[in-house]
Amino acid sequence: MNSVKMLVRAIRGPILLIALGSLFAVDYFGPYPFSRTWPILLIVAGALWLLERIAPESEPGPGSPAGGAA
Amino acid sequence: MRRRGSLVGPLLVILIGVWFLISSLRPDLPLFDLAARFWPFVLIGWGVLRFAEILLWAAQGRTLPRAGVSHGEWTLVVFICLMGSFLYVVNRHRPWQQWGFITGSRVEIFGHPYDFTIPEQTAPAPKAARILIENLRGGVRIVGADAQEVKVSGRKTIRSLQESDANNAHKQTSVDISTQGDQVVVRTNQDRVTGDERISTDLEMTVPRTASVEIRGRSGDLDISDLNGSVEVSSDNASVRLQNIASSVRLDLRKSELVRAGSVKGDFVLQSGRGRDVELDTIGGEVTIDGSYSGDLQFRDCAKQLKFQSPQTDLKVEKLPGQIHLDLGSLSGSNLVGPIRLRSNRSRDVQLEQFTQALELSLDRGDITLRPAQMPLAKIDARTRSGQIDLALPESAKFELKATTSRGDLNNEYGAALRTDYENGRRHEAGGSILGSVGQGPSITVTTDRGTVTVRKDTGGPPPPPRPPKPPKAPGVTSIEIERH
Repeated sequence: MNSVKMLVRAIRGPILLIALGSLFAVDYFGPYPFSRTWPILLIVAGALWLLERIAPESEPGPGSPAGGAA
Repeated sequence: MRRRGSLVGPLLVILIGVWFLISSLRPDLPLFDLAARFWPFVLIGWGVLRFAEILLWAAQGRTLPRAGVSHGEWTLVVFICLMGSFLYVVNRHRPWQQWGFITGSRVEIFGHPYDFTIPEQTAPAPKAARILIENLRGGVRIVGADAQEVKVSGRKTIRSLQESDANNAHKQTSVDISTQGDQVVVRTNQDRVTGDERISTDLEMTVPRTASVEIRGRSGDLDISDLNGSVEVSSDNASVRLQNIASSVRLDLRKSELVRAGSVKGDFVLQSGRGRDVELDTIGGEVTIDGSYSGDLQFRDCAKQLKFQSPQTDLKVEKLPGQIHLDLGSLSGSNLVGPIRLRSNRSRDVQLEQFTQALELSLDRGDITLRPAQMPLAKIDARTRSGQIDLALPESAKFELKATTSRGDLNNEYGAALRTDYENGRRHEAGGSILGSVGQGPSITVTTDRGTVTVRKDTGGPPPPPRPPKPPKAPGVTSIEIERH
Protein backbone atom coordinates (compact mmCIF):
# COMPACT_ATOMS: atom_id res chain seq x y z
CA MET A 1 0.00 0.00 0.00
CA ASN A 2 3.04 2.22 -0.06
CA SER A 3 2.83 5.22 -2.27
CA VAL A 4 5.69 7.45 -3.36
CA LYS A 5 4.09 10.12 -1.24
CA MET A 6 4.39 7.99 1.87
CA LEU A 7 8.00 7.14 1.04
CA VAL A 8 8.86 10.81 0.64
CA ARG A 9 7.10 11.60 3.88
CA ALA A 10 8.96 8.85 5.69
CA ILE A 11 12.43 9.84 4.51
CA ARG A 12 11.85 13.52 5.24
CA GLY A 13 12.89 13.15 8.86
CA PRO A 14 16.09 11.21 8.25
CA ILE A 15 17.22 13.56 5.48
CA LEU A 16 16.64 16.60 7.67
CA LEU A 17 18.54 14.84 10.43
CA ILE A 18 21.50 14.19 8.12
CA ALA A 19 21.43 17.80 6.94
CA LEU A 20 21.33 19.08 10.52
CA GLY A 21 24.25 16.90 11.57
CA SER A 22 26.24 17.88 8.48
CA LEU A 23 25.77 21.60 9.12
CA PHE A 24 27.04 21.22 12.69
CA ALA A 25 29.97 19.15 11.43
CA VAL A 26 30.79 21.84 8.84
CA ASP A 27 30.57 24.43 11.61
CA TYR A 28 33.17 22.56 13.71
CA PHE A 29 35.47 21.22 11.02
CA GLY A 30 34.72 23.28 7.92
CA PRO A 31 34.85 26.93 6.97
CA TYR A 32 31.19 27.91 7.39
CA PRO A 33 29.56 28.62 10.77
CA PHE A 34 26.08 27.29 11.49
CA SER A 35 24.83 30.87 11.72
CA ARG A 36 25.48 31.20 7.99
CA THR A 37 24.41 27.78 6.77
CA TRP A 38 21.11 27.23 8.64
CA PRO A 39 18.95 28.39 5.69
CA ILE A 40 19.98 25.17 3.94
CA LEU A 41 17.72 23.37 6.43
CA LEU A 42 14.75 25.47 5.30
CA ILE A 43 15.58 24.78 1.66
CA VAL A 44 15.88 21.03 2.26
CA ALA A 45 12.62 20.97 4.25
CA GLY A 46 10.87 23.01 1.57
CA ALA A 47 12.20 20.79 -1.21
CA LEU A 48 11.01 17.63 0.56
CA TRP A 49 7.61 19.19 1.19
CA LEU A 50 7.42 20.16 -2.50
CA LEU A 51 8.40 16.62 -3.49
CA GLU A 52 5.64 15.26 -1.28
CA ARG A 53 3.09 17.58 -2.93
CA ILE A 54 3.98 16.63 -6.48
CA ALA A 55 4.46 12.90 -5.81
CA PRO A 56 1.69 10.68 -7.23
CA GLU A 57 -0.85 9.56 -4.65
CA SER A 58 -1.19 5.84 -5.22
CA GLU A 59 1.27 4.61 -7.80
CA PRO A 60 4.05 2.36 -6.62
CA GLY A 61 7.37 4.11 -6.27
CA PRO A 62 9.97 3.60 -8.96
CA GLY A 63 12.60 3.17 -6.27
CA SER A 64 10.80 0.19 -4.71
CA PRO A 65 10.91 -2.94 -6.83
CA ALA A 66 8.30 -4.76 -4.80
CA GLY A 67 6.23 -1.60 -4.92
CA GLY A 68 2.56 -2.43 -5.31
CA ALA A 69 2.83 -6.06 -4.25
CA ALA A 70 2.25 -5.42 -0.58
CA MET B 1 2.13 -6.88 7.97
CA ARG B 2 3.53 -6.12 11.38
CA ARG B 3 5.97 -3.26 11.38
CA ARG B 4 9.33 -3.84 12.97
CA GLY B 5 10.59 -0.89 15.00
CA SER B 6 13.71 1.00 14.13
CA LEU B 7 17.17 -0.22 15.10
CA VAL B 8 18.45 3.26 15.74
CA GLY B 9 17.10 3.67 19.25
CA PRO B 10 18.84 0.54 20.61
CA LEU B 11 22.06 1.42 18.76
CA LEU B 12 22.05 4.90 20.28
CA VAL B 13 21.65 3.45 23.76
CA ILE B 14 24.51 1.00 23.10
CA LEU B 15 26.71 3.87 21.86
CA ILE B 16 26.06 5.94 24.97
CA GLY B 17 26.73 2.89 27.16
CA VAL B 18 30.03 2.16 25.39
CA TRP B 19 31.07 5.78 25.75
CA PHE B 20 30.47 5.81 29.50
CA LEU B 21 32.15 2.42 29.87
CA ILE B 22 35.27 3.55 28.03
CA SER B 23 35.39 6.81 29.95
CA SER B 24 35.36 4.92 33.25
CA LEU B 25 37.87 2.28 32.13
CA ARG B 26 40.27 4.66 30.43
CA PRO B 27 40.01 8.06 32.08
CA ASP B 28 43.15 9.16 30.25
CA LEU B 29 41.48 9.18 26.83
CA PRO B 30 40.10 12.58 25.80
CA LEU B 31 36.55 11.28 25.53
CA PHE B 32 34.95 14.50 26.65
CA ASP B 33 36.80 16.30 23.91
CA LEU B 34 35.76 13.66 21.36
CA ALA B 35 32.11 13.89 22.38
CA ALA B 36 32.16 17.68 22.26
CA ARG B 37 33.62 17.75 18.79
CA PHE B 38 32.13 14.74 17.06
CA TRP B 39 28.53 14.66 18.30
CA PRO B 40 27.15 15.98 14.96
CA PHE B 41 28.22 12.69 13.42
CA VAL B 42 25.82 10.88 15.76
CA LEU B 43 23.00 12.85 14.11
CA ILE B 44 24.36 12.09 10.64
CA GLY B 45 24.74 8.40 11.47
CA TRP B 46 21.24 8.28 12.93
CA GLY B 47 19.82 9.93 9.81
CA VAL B 48 21.73 7.64 7.45
CA LEU B 49 20.67 4.48 9.33
CA ARG B 50 17.03 5.53 9.43
CA PHE B 51 17.16 6.52 5.75
CA ALA B 52 18.57 3.12 4.79
CA GLU B 53 16.00 1.40 6.98
CA ILE B 54 13.10 3.17 5.32
CA LEU B 55 14.40 2.42 1.83
CA LEU B 56 14.76 -1.23 2.85
CA TRP B 57 11.23 -1.36 4.26
CA ALA B 58 9.89 0.28 1.13
CA ALA B 59 11.74 -2.27 -1.01
CA GLN B 60 10.31 -5.09 1.05
CA GLY B 61 6.88 -3.59 0.68
CA ARG B 62 6.32 -3.11 4.38
CA THR B 63 4.09 -0.42 5.74
CA LEU B 64 6.09 2.76 6.13
CA PRO B 65 5.80 4.88 9.25
CA ARG B 66 3.92 8.12 8.84
CA ALA B 67 7.02 10.07 9.75
CA GLY B 68 10.60 8.88 9.45
CA VAL B 69 11.54 10.60 12.68
CA SER B 70 8.79 10.83 15.27
CA HIS B 71 7.98 13.82 17.44
CA GLY B 72 9.61 12.22 20.44
CA GLU B 73 12.75 11.58 18.47
CA TRP B 74 12.87 15.20 17.26
CA THR B 75 12.72 16.27 20.89
CA LEU B 76 15.73 14.06 21.53
CA VAL B 77 17.50 15.59 18.51
CA VAL B 78 16.93 19.11 19.83
CA PHE B 79 18.21 17.98 23.21
CA ILE B 80 21.35 16.47 21.62
CA CYS B 81 21.96 19.68 19.64
CA LEU B 82 21.67 21.89 22.72
CA MET B 83 23.79 19.54 24.82
CA GLY B 84 26.39 19.15 22.08
CA SER B 85 26.69 22.89 21.42
CA PHE B 86 27.06 23.49 25.13
CA LEU B 87 29.76 20.83 25.41
CA TYR B 88 31.54 22.26 22.39
CA VAL B 89 31.65 25.80 23.75
CA VAL B 90 32.69 24.65 27.22
CA ASN B 91 35.33 22.33 25.77
CA ARG B 92 36.77 25.03 23.57
CA HIS B 93 37.17 27.69 26.19
CA ARG B 94 37.95 25.27 29.02
CA PRO B 95 36.98 27.67 31.79
CA TRP B 96 38.13 25.20 34.43
CA GLN B 97 41.72 25.83 33.38
CA GLN B 98 41.26 29.33 34.74
CA TRP B 99 39.32 28.25 37.80
CA GLY B 100 41.67 25.40 38.49
CA PHE B 101 39.93 24.31 41.64
CA ILE B 102 36.95 22.75 39.89
CA THR B 103 38.85 19.84 38.45
CA GLY B 104 41.94 20.60 40.48
CA SER B 105 42.81 18.19 43.19
CA ARG B 106 41.95 18.58 46.84
CA VAL B 107 45.27 20.36 47.19
CA GLU B 108 43.83 23.36 45.34
CA ILE B 109 40.97 23.65 47.78
CA PHE B 110 42.28 22.44 51.12
CA GLY B 111 46.04 22.74 50.67
CA HIS B 112 48.32 25.37 52.15
CA PRO B 113 51.26 27.06 50.48
CA TYR B 114 54.67 26.38 52.04
CA ASP B 115 57.61 28.55 51.06
CA PHE B 116 61.21 27.38 50.75
CA THR B 117 64.37 29.26 49.93
CA ILE B 118 66.64 27.89 47.24
CA PRO B 119 70.22 28.35 48.41
CA GLU B 120 72.54 30.10 46.04
CA GLN B 121 74.49 27.82 43.69
CA THR B 122 77.16 28.71 41.18
CA ALA B 123 78.73 26.85 38.29
CA PRO B 124 81.50 27.99 36.00
CA ALA B 125 80.32 28.76 32.48
CA PRO B 126 82.32 29.24 29.29
CA LYS B 127 82.15 32.58 27.56
CA ALA B 128 79.85 31.48 24.73
CA ALA B 129 77.72 29.26 26.94
CA ARG B 130 74.31 28.04 25.96
CA ILE B 131 72.17 28.06 29.03
CA LEU B 132 69.09 25.89 29.05
CA ILE B 133 66.53 26.36 31.80
CA GLU B 134 63.80 23.82 32.34
CA ASN B 135 61.26 25.04 34.83
CA LEU B 136 57.74 23.73 34.47
CA ARG B 137 56.03 26.15 36.78
CA GLY B 138 57.36 29.42 38.09
CA GLY B 139 59.08 32.55 36.96
CA VAL B 140 62.65 33.07 35.82
CA ARG B 141 64.60 36.29 36.08
CA ILE B 142 67.92 36.47 34.28
CA VAL B 143 70.46 39.25 34.28
CA GLY B 144 73.62 39.21 32.20
CA ALA B 145 76.76 40.23 34.03
CA ASP B 146 80.50 40.44 33.40
CA ALA B 147 81.21 37.12 35.06
CA GLN B 148 82.31 33.63 34.06
CA GLU B 149 79.75 31.77 36.11
CA VAL B 150 76.08 30.97 36.34
CA LYS B 151 74.57 31.91 39.66
CA VAL B 152 71.17 30.56 40.68
CA SER B 153 69.03 31.29 43.70
CA GLY B 154 65.36 31.79 44.33
CA ARG B 155 62.38 30.47 46.19
CA LYS B 156 59.93 27.68 45.89
CA THR B 157 56.28 27.56 46.82
CA ILE B 158 54.74 24.14 47.38
CA ARG B 159 51.04 23.77 47.89
CA SER B 160 50.12 20.61 49.75
CA LEU B 161 47.79 19.23 52.38
CA GLN B 162 50.46 18.65 55.03
CA GLU B 163 53.77 20.24 55.81
CA SER B 164 55.55 16.86 55.68
CA ASP B 165 54.35 16.36 52.09
CA ALA B 166 55.70 19.79 51.22
CA ASN B 167 59.06 19.00 52.86
CA ASN B 168 59.32 15.73 50.96
CA ALA B 169 58.45 17.41 47.69
CA HIS B 170 61.03 20.10 48.41
CA LYS B 171 63.75 17.49 48.93
CA GLN B 172 62.84 15.73 45.70
CA THR B 173 62.91 18.87 43.63
CA SER B 174 66.36 20.26 44.23
CA VAL B 175 67.57 22.69 41.61
CA ASP B 176 70.40 21.14 39.57
CA ILE B 177 73.03 22.82 37.45
CA SER B 178 74.93 20.56 35.09
CA THR B 179 77.58 21.52 32.56
CA GLN B 180 78.34 19.65 29.35
CA GLY B 181 80.83 21.39 27.16
CA ASP B 182 79.32 24.71 26.15
CA GLN B 183 75.94 23.87 27.52
CA VAL B 184 74.80 24.63 31.03
CA VAL B 185 71.50 23.06 32.02
CA VAL B 186 69.46 24.31 34.96
CA ARG B 187 66.63 22.02 36.02
CA THR B 188 64.05 22.52 38.73
CA ASN B 189 63.00 18.85 38.58
CA GLN B 190 59.35 19.43 39.36
CA ASP B 191 58.44 16.37 37.34
CA ARG B 192 60.08 14.16 39.97
CA VAL B 193 57.16 14.66 42.33
CA THR B 194 54.41 12.22 41.56
CA GLY B 195 51.97 13.31 44.26
CA ASP B 196 49.45 16.05 43.79
CA GLU B 197 51.54 18.78 45.39
CA ARG B 198 51.72 21.87 43.26
CA ILE B 199 55.19 23.30 43.00
CA SER B 200 56.21 26.64 41.68
CA THR B 201 59.88 27.56 41.46
CA ASP B 202 60.94 31.16 40.99
CA LEU B 203 64.55 31.46 39.89
CA GLU B 204 66.86 34.42 40.10
CA MET B 205 69.86 33.96 37.84
CA THR B 206 72.97 35.80 36.86
CA VAL B 207 74.70 34.54 33.73
CA PRO B 208 77.70 35.65 31.66
CA ARG B 209 76.66 38.51 29.43
CA THR B 210 77.90 36.65 26.36
CA ALA B 211 75.71 33.59 26.95
CA SER B 212 72.62 32.67 25.01
CA VAL B 213 69.58 31.51 26.91
CA GLU B 214 66.81 29.04 26.23
CA ILE B 215 63.89 28.64 28.60
CA ARG B 216 61.28 25.90 28.50
CA GLY B 217 58.31 25.87 30.78
CA ARG B 218 54.61 25.60 31.17
CA SER B 219 53.72 28.69 33.13
CA GLY B 220 55.53 31.52 34.82
CA ASP B 221 56.68 34.99 33.99
CA LEU B 222 60.08 35.65 32.50
CA ASP B 223 62.28 38.67 32.82
CA ILE B 224 65.54 38.75 30.89
CA SER B 225 67.94 41.64 30.53
CA ASP B 226 71.45 42.63 29.46
CA LEU B 227 72.47 39.74 27.26
CA ASN B 228 74.64 39.67 24.15
CA GLY B 229 73.50 36.18 23.17
CA SER B 230 70.19 35.07 21.76
CA VAL B 231 67.05 34.37 23.76
CA GLU B 232 64.66 31.54 23.03
CA VAL B 233 61.51 30.85 25.04
CA SER B 234 58.81 28.26 24.72
CA SER B 235 56.03 28.22 27.27
CA ASP B 236 52.33 27.49 27.52
CA ASN B 237 51.56 30.56 29.52
CA ALA B 238 54.01 33.32 30.23
CA SER B 239 54.41 37.05 30.30
CA VAL B 240 57.82 37.98 28.98
CA ARG B 241 59.84 41.13 29.60
CA LEU B 242 63.06 41.66 27.68
CA GLN B 243 65.48 44.53 27.96
CA ASN B 244 68.75 45.18 26.23
CA ILE B 245 69.30 41.99 24.22
CA ALA B 246 72.07 42.29 21.64
CA SER B 247 71.03 39.28 19.58
CA SER B 248 67.90 37.66 18.24
CA VAL B 249 64.82 36.77 20.28
CA ARG B 250 62.37 34.00 19.62
CA LEU B 251 59.26 33.56 21.78
CA ASP B 252 56.85 30.70 21.34
CA LEU B 253 53.96 31.14 23.75
CA ARG B 254 50.58 29.51 23.72
CA LYS B 255 49.17 32.15 25.94
CA SER B 256 50.55 35.39 27.26
CA GLU B 257 49.26 38.42 29.08
CA LEU B 258 52.13 40.69 28.17
CA VAL B 259 55.19 40.64 25.97
CA ARG B 260 57.41 43.68 26.36
CA ALA B 261 60.74 44.11 24.62
CA GLY B 262 63.05 47.10 24.60
CA SER B 263 66.38 47.47 22.81
CA VAL B 264 66.66 44.19 20.95
CA LYS B 265 69.40 44.35 18.31
CA GLY B 266 68.60 41.16 16.41
CA ASP B 267 65.47 39.68 14.84
CA PHE B 268 62.39 39.41 17.01
CA VAL B 269 59.95 36.55 16.46
CA LEU B 270 56.83 36.15 18.56
CA GLN B 271 54.30 33.41 18.15
CA SER B 272 51.33 33.38 20.48
CA GLY B 273 48.24 31.26 20.43
CA ARG B 274 46.29 33.73 22.50
CA GLY B 275 48.05 36.85 23.62
CA ARG B 276 46.93 40.10 25.09
CA ASP B 277 49.34 43.04 25.14
CA VAL B 278 52.55 43.48 23.18
CA GLU B 279 54.97 46.39 23.48
CA LEU B 280 58.05 46.63 21.31
CA ASP B 281 60.48 49.50 21.42
CA THR B 282 63.74 49.92 19.49
CA ILE B 283 64.13 46.66 17.62
CA GLY B 284 67.15 46.42 15.33
CA GLY B 285 66.22 43.33 13.32
CA GLU B 286 63.16 42.08 11.53
CA VAL B 287 60.01 41.76 13.60
CA THR B 288 57.62 38.89 12.98
CA ILE B 289 54.51 38.55 15.11
CA ASP B 290 51.97 35.81 14.73
CA GLY B 291 48.88 34.95 16.72
CA SER B 292 45.67 36.45 17.96
CA TYR B 293 45.83 39.26 20.49
CA SER B 294 43.00 40.76 22.47
CA GLY B 295 44.75 43.71 24.06
CA ASP B 296 46.89 46.62 22.94
CA LEU B 297 49.86 46.26 20.66
CA GLN B 298 52.44 49.00 20.39
CA PHE B 299 55.40 48.98 18.08
CA ARG B 300 57.92 51.78 18.18
CA ASP B 301 61.14 52.34 16.32
CA CYS B 302 61.73 49.19 14.31
CA ALA B 303 64.74 49.49 12.00
CA LYS B 304 63.76 46.67 9.65
CA GLN B 305 60.67 45.01 8.27
CA LEU B 306 57.73 44.47 10.58
CA LYS B 307 55.23 41.73 9.89
CA PHE B 308 52.14 41.18 11.96
CA GLN B 309 49.74 38.39 11.22
CA SER B 310 46.61 37.43 13.12
CA PRO B 311 43.54 35.54 11.98
CA GLN B 312 41.88 38.89 11.34
CA THR B 313 44.68 41.21 10.34
CA ASP B 314 47.69 41.17 8.09
CA LEU B 315 50.15 44.04 8.35
CA LYS B 316 53.51 44.57 6.70
CA VAL B 317 55.63 47.68 7.07
CA GLU B 318 59.09 48.04 5.58
CA LYS B 319 60.48 50.16 8.38
CA LEU B 320 59.02 51.96 11.36
CA PRO B 321 60.84 55.05 12.58
CA GLY B 322 57.61 56.17 14.25
CA GLN B 323 55.01 54.04 15.95
CA ILE B 324 51.98 51.88 15.44
CA HIS B 325 49.25 51.26 17.94
CA LEU B 326 46.82 48.45 17.39
CA ASP B 327 43.88 47.13 19.35
CA LEU B 328 40.80 45.13 18.51
CA GLY B 329 38.92 48.04 17.01
CA SER B 330 41.53 50.38 15.62
CA LEU B 331 44.96 50.82 14.14
CA SER B 332 46.84 54.08 14.18
CA GLY B 333 50.31 54.74 12.94
CA SER B 334 52.58 57.66 12.30
CA ASN B 335 55.92 57.98 10.57
CA LEU B 336 55.96 54.72 8.65
CA VAL B 337 58.17 53.71 5.74
CA GLY B 338 56.48 51.63 3.07
CA PRO B 339 55.60 49.79 1.03
CA ILE B 340 52.85 49.23 3.59
CA ARG B 341 50.28 46.49 3.25
CA LEU B 342 47.35 46.16 5.62
CA ARG B 343 44.36 43.90 5.36
CA SER B 344 41.78 43.34 8.04
CA ASN B 345 38.58 41.36 7.98
CA ARG B 346 37.39 42.52 11.34
CA SER B 347 35.84 45.88 12.05
CA ARG B 348 38.72 48.30 12.49
CA ASP B 349 39.28 52.03 12.09
CA VAL B 350 42.60 52.90 10.51
CA GLN B 351 44.46 56.15 10.86
CA LEU B 352 47.83 56.57 9.17
CA GLU B 353 49.96 59.69 9.19
CA GLN B 354 53.27 60.57 7.62
CA PHE B 355 53.91 57.45 5.66
CA THR B 356 56.11 57.10 2.61
CA GLN B 357 56.11 54.72 -0.31
CA ALA B 358 53.16 52.75 -1.54
CA LEU B 359 50.16 51.88 0.62
CA GLU B 360 47.79 49.01 0.05
CA LEU B 361 44.95 49.01 2.53
CA SER B 362 41.87 46.84 2.53
CA LEU B 363 39.26 46.77 5.29
CA ASP B 364 36.06 44.87 5.66
CA ARG B 365 34.54 47.53 7.84
CA GLY B 366 35.89 50.65 9.46
CA ASP B 367 36.83 54.24 8.82
CA ILE B 368 40.03 55.21 7.04
CA THR B 369 41.95 58.40 7.78
CA LEU B 370 45.05 58.99 5.65
CA ARG B 371 47.51 61.83 5.91
CA PRO B 372 50.52 61.08 3.73
CA ALA B 373 52.35 64.21 4.75
CA GLN B 374 55.70 63.16 3.37
CA MET B 375 56.68 64.09 -0.20
CA PRO B 376 56.75 62.91 -2.89
CA LEU B 377 53.59 60.85 -2.76
CA ALA B 378 53.51 57.22 -3.83
CA LYS B 379 50.74 54.97 -5.03
CA ILE B 380 47.89 54.59 -2.58
CA ASP B 381 45.14 52.03 -2.85
CA ALA B 382 42.74 52.03 0.08
CA ARG B 383 39.33 50.46 0.27
CA THR B 384 36.73 49.66 2.89
CA ARG B 385 33.40 47.96 2.45
CA SER B 386 31.70 50.10 4.99
CA GLY B 387 33.14 53.22 6.57
CA GLN B 388 34.13 56.82 6.06
CA ILE B 389 37.27 57.85 4.26
CA ASP B 390 39.15 61.02 5.11
CA LEU B 391 42.12 61.82 2.89
CA ALA B 392 44.33 64.84 3.49
CA LEU B 393 46.81 65.51 0.70
CA PRO B 394 49.81 67.87 1.01
CA GLU B 395 49.24 71.21 -0.61
CA SER B 396 51.99 70.97 -3.21
CA ALA B 397 51.76 67.25 -3.95
CA LYS B 398 51.31 65.84 -7.43
CA PHE B 399 48.84 63.02 -7.82
CA GLU B 400 46.05 61.50 -9.82
CA LEU B 401 43.06 60.93 -7.56
CA LYS B 402 40.00 58.75 -7.74
CA ALA B 403 37.94 58.74 -4.54
CA THR B 404 34.74 56.74 -4.84
CA THR B 405 31.78 55.90 -2.69
CA SER B 406 29.01 53.62 -3.92
CA ARG B 407 26.58 54.95 -1.38
CA GLY B 408 27.32 58.09 0.56
CA ASP B 409 28.28 61.71 0.48
CA LEU B 410 31.29 63.34 -1.19
CA ASN B 411 33.09 66.30 0.35
CA ASN B 412 35.66 68.02 -1.79
CA GLU B 413 37.48 70.39 0.53
CA TYR B 414 40.61 70.29 -1.59
CA GLY B 415 39.50 72.86 -4.07
CA ALA B 416 38.75 73.44 -7.69
CA ALA B 417 41.50 71.18 -8.97
CA LEU B 418 39.23 68.20 -8.28
CA ARG B 419 35.75 67.70 -9.61
CA THR B 420 32.88 65.87 -7.97
CA ASP B 421 30.77 63.50 -10.05
CA TYR B 422 27.54 62.33 -8.49
CA GLU B 423 25.95 59.33 -10.03
CA ASN B 424 22.64 60.20 -11.68
CA GLY B 425 23.30 63.79 -10.78
CA ARG B 426 21.67 63.31 -7.40
CA ARG B 427 23.26 64.15 -4.13
CA HIS B 428 23.21 61.82 -1.15
CA GLU B 429 22.82 58.08 -1.14
CA ALA B 430 23.55 57.74 -4.81
CA GLY B 431 27.31 57.77 -4.50
CA GLY B 432 29.87 59.10 -6.91
CA SER B 433 33.53 60.06 -7.19
CA ILE B 434 35.92 62.87 -6.56
CA LEU B 435 38.29 62.89 -9.52
CA GLY B 436 41.18 64.91 -10.81
CA SER B 437 44.90 65.16 -11.13
CA VAL B 438 47.40 67.71 -10.00
CA GLY B 439 50.57 67.58 -12.08
CA GLN B 440 52.08 64.23 -13.04
CA GLY B 441 51.82 62.08 -9.95
CA PRO B 442 51.15 58.58 -8.67
CA SER B 443 47.62 57.22 -8.69
CA ILE B 444 45.68 57.49 -5.46
CA THR B 445 42.58 55.34 -5.29
CA VAL B 446 40.32 55.30 -2.27
CA THR B 447 37.05 53.40 -2.35
CA THR B 448 34.22 52.78 0.08
CA ASP B 449 31.08 50.83 -0.67
CA ARG B 450 29.16 52.76 1.90
CA GLY B 451 30.20 55.93 3.66
CA THR B 452 31.23 59.52 3.25
CA VAL B 453 34.41 60.40 1.36
CA THR B 454 36.25 63.59 2.25
CA VAL B 455 39.31 64.90 0.43
CA ARG B 456 41.09 67.86 1.97
CA LYS B 457 44.32 69.81 1.80
CA ASP B 458 46.87 69.04 4.45
CA THR B 459 48.14 72.45 5.49
CA GLY B 460 50.55 71.03 8.00
CA GLY B 461 48.39 71.93 10.95
CA PRO B 462 47.35 69.56 13.66
CA PRO B 463 45.50 66.49 12.45
CA PRO B 464 41.72 66.62 12.42
CA PRO B 465 40.24 65.84 15.80
CA PRO B 466 39.73 62.12 16.25
CA ARG B 467 36.20 60.90 16.04
CA PRO B 468 34.49 60.08 19.30
CA PRO B 469 35.23 56.48 20.15
CA LYS B 470 32.69 54.00 18.95
CA PRO B 471 30.92 51.78 21.43
CA PRO B 472 32.94 48.63 22.00
CA LYS B 473 32.32 46.03 19.38
CA ALA B 474 31.09 42.55 20.07
CA PRO B 475 34.04 40.40 21.05
CA GLY B 476 35.15 37.74 18.62
CA VAL B 477 34.72 34.11 19.50
CA THR B 478 38.43 33.60 19.85
CA SER B 479 39.00 36.29 22.42
CA ILE B 480 36.95 36.04 25.51
CA GLU B 481 38.93 38.28 27.81
CA ILE B 482 38.35 41.74 26.45
CA GLU B 483 38.27 44.45 29.04
CA ARG B 484 39.10 47.80 27.62
CA HIS B 485 37.78 51.35 27.41
